[in-house]
Amino acid sequence: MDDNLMNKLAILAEGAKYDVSCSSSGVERLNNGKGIGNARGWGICHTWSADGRCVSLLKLLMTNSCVYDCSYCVNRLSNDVPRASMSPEEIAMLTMEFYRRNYIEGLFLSSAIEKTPDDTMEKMYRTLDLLRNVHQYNGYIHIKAIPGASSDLIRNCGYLADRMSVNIELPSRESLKLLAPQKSFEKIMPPIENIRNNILLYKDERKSFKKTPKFVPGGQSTQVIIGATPDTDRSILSVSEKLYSDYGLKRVYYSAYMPVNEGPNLPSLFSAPPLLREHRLYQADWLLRFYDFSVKELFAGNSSSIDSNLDPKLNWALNNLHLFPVEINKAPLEMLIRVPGIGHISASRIIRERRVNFLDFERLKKTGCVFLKAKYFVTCKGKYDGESLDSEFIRRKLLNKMDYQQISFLG
Amino acid sequence: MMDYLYDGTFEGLLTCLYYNFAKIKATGIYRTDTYQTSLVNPHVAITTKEQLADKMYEKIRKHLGTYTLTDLYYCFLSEKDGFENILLSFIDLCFRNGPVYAGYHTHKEVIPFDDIVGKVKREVQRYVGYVRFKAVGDVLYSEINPEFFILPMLASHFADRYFNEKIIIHDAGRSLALISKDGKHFIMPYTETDLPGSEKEDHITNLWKEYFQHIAIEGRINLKLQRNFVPLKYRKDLVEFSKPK
Repeated sequence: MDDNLMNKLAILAEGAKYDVSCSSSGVERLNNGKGIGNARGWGICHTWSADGRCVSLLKLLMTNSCVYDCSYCVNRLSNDVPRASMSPEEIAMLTMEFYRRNYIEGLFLSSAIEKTPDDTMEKMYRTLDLLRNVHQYNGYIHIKAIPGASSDLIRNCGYLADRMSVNIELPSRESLKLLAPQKSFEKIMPPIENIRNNILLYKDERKSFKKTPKFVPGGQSTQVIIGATPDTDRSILSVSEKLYSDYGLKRVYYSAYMPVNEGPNLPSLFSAPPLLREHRLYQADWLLRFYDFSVKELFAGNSSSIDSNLDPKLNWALNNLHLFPVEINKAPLEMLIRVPGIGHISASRIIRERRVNFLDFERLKKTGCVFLKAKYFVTCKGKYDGESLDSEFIRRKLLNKMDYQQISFLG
Repeated sequence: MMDYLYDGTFEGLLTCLYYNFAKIKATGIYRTDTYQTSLVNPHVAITTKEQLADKMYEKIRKHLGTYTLTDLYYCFLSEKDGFENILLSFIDLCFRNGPVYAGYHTHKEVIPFDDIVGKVKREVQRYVGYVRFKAVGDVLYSEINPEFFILPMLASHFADRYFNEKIIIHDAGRSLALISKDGKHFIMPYTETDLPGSEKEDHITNLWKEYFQHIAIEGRINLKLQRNFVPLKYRKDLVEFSKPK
């Protein structure tokens, strides 16, 4: 208990803050009666930091001294930043004390590579082992799998953690070569495959043996940097789509690149982070995961980037006007959620309402959908309220209305 | 036609509802202690009867489902002025027209009900994360100032999470506390506030504050967004927003 720990905590939190992942959802586990903690399926946010991002997990690096020299990273070898390391005991102590006071929902443990990947992964394993088996900690743990570490080590961590992740960081080989020459897809993909295979194996064994130990019950996730390289939205989303379908990932996080370093292959230090682009990518990502869209549908023809003025669903609708207008009182759920301005919540409300009575425009407004957008694409009891079902007309109308909203989003 | 008065307990409210459906229609339900005598309607004070309350409870569960029943309880916890009448007209609508009407969100009797329930649920959800404990000896103590009476809804979560700890969650505005030990919990009157701190406690709090300062990315500072998620009124309960002494 000294100032030393305070400094280390500050340095290592600084190093970890660029990792976006902070979800604590997906695992429902009650207290086992031996120690402290449980996990809630819906996830719990405990506070929000000044940048408006939630603080759910205690995000820490084990160390920020790194042998790699990736251009985009604050902690790269050639940067002159204060370095620190924490021992597994210190991290376990901090986690327990914070968790006990309900400051956090769990631990997010990542690390730079001080010596070798194996050495780092082993230290992370020791931290998890301390927490789970010595402190009897039963809360949420998210841990990074270090590319290059032995597959046995990664698997052992998987039995103790709730979620694992490997950051892809850059969505193409060329970009990786440019900015992180010491990393490659050949190093990054094996741990992702390893985790996927073990999850599948667990699910299979679970069918025959009830007490099979759980393996990464919260699934795995990854993160991609936006705006540091010329990769297009389409190529980024195609990678995400593949990761969702082939690798069973739960989430792909997008992180607008914050210019922290100078370099010949990087955007200038004074460029603003592409926050709006990040936002549009998240919207598109949601369409992939929850609205049953495919990347091919989202990009009309040969376009490779999302129109940042309109959200991706609206864009899609304007390019597919032959499917509209949709009759609110008859359309199936799959079609309702494809209407711009209607999401899962308002769609399910509409369906519940329809059991009782027909919906007219007045009542549609009260379901919580964004009527401003939806009115161009729906009919209620056969009536149409959107003046004209013409792509140019709708685009002009909506852009005029949204002008001030766009500005406030960036500010 | 008359106003029913109840004692402020959920069972009392259920008893009133029972009389409303089984005997005479109520023009309104009010708490005895805050009731202002009406010139138009006669009133009658209803004594809470557990048996009748149970009967009503079962009726609601059977005909409208557990989900609606829970929502009624959430509405009760709001303790808002006049919530009883909103609840009464909602449940009356559901019994008259069938359980599907509980999902009739745009109906004029359902909107205010959903509104209250949504607010209480949101606050419960928030406080599951907002409660901040302070270790006093081997007890974990927390003071909260919620708008609604949310302690009953926090109980099972915290009792399970801190199974082997002794915890006190003190609702300062209502002078009540949720006390939990060994997974069992109960709510009782409580007023003690000035519990002694310790050096270790201050140190951990400072560590947390330090962490909280450093986790924000400077280039993305967005205080308005932060305020959307942590409204100012809740910040006095959150140690990371308190000013350093």
